Amino acid sequence: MERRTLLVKALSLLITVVFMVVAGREFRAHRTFREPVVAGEGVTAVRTLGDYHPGVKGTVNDCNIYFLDSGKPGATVLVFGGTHPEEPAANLTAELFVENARVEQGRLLVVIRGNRSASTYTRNGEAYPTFYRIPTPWGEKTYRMGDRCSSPLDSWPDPEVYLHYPTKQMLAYMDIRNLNRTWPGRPGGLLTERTTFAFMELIRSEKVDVFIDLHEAELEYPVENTIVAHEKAQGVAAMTSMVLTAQEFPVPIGMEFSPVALRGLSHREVGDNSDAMSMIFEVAEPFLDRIRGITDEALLLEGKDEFVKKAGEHGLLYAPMDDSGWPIAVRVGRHASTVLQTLETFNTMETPERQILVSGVPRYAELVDKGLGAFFRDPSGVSEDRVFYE
Amino acid sequence: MKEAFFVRRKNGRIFAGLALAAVFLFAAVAVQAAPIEPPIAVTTCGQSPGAVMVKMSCAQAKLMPTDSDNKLTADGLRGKGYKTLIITTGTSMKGMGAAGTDVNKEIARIEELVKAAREEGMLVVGAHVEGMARRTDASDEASIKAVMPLSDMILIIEDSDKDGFFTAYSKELNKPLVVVKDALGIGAALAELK
Repeated sequence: MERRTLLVKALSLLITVVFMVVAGREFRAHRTFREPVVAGEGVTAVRTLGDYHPGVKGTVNDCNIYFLDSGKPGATVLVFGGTHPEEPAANLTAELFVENARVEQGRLLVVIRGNRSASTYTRNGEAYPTFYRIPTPWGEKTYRMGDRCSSPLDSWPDPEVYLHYPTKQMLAYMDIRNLNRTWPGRPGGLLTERTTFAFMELIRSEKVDVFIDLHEAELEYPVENTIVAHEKAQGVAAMTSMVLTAQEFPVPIGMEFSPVALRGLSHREVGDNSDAMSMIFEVAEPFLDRIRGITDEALLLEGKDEFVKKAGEHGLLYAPMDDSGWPIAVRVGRHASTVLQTLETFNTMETPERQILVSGVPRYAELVDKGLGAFFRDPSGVSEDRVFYE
Repeated sequence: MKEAFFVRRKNGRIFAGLALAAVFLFAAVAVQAAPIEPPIAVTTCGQSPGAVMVKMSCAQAKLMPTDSDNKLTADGLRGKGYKTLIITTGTSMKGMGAAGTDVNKEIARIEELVKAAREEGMLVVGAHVEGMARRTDASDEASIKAVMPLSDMILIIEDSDKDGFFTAYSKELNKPLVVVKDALGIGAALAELK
């Protein structure tokens, strides 16, 4: 072999190794980053998902379950964030409840990172930011940006066609790693199926009455700024959407029925496989639109994009889009108010001893006015036993 | 779960909203609308949640009895003693998929339903209560243009008429148009038309 050829090969190898080291360090920093959460005064216990199914014990998806128990009999409500970590308003809203909520009657259960595995990598080829930061009065709070599906490092290989369990409905291959396609789960399945099975065990054993799964969606998608409701939740969802649209939100929130024939989604399967009424809340996230421009942290948090706005001018969107965009405080504010209004509506339909009373959580207007970071607490300012990590 | 749950509500915001909506109603009725008489049957042409919303709003305004059935058929309507039939328009792909139907089948069902309502001497109200979100595609348009010409009056919310479509369409059809500020105020608005 010529000396020159050897030199080229050696240089190529060296450059490859350099790239591998740099990328590997970034990847590892992302995968191992821990998000501190301050357990607010309402949190009475923190368990983990593995307590409900040994199949997830000790895995990346053995996430925290925050219990806010009033000690007074009433309804049990589960607020669920982090199904799709590329939809940050969901986990941020859940965290807002953990750090601020006080429960005067009934029990509130909160999951911040429902699919931790999916929060440990970002989507291949989409140039997602690795982290995003929320400014607070005491500094920036950093979060992992994630993907829609569990990491292939934790769930591999994907099948040629994903057969949903137990219905055997055929779904796209990667949906076996999509937490919102694997409900009600399979005890011995791949990681995401085991995760939803564990959550179903939690929902059944803790006798959850209301299950709320928080999401975000691209503006090009018709199921936008809406509540998707199981049959058992239709009355609550209809009243909640009407009240919020009439009295609180500048942009209306609608309602959709949960389709019976589309399997694996939480609004369908949780309602079908437990006593809980199940709902999904959606809010607009321009970051997810295919037509978006630069995909960076600013777009993720400010929700402003010229290309998406232009699509709106051509009538191609299902949500309004102007220069003010869809900032994270607006998106979290809508979710927070929708959760709180859902509980209020639920209470009006129940007898006094079956209600849940929650206070301390800011609603839409307050969040938009003060910003999301104003409601997050400094983990260095509380005792260590009140800090948990996601 | 209890039906008459609204009485206990401590928060007065809903009632304030209802009062506001009722006031708005009188300013918005362009042509004299027919009186609304219960019992009321509500259904949808397009399987959207509009019928559930109308039912909940009517219950809140104590406009009872009001029954909603998204799959209501002519046979299900006959002989039940209903005085008013409200048909909400605008379609939901999720809803139609769940019900195993499509907009053409929905229109055929509604045409039979309106025939039965006429035989029963009922008032027929065509409604659009979910705003511009239910005016986005050809299915939405098909359901609107199938129901409104068959109706005695048209009931909409403000957000459904942002482009003035219903104002012009009601004039073209020569039907009374009732505009309510939002879906929450529908029950109170209809109660005022009793």
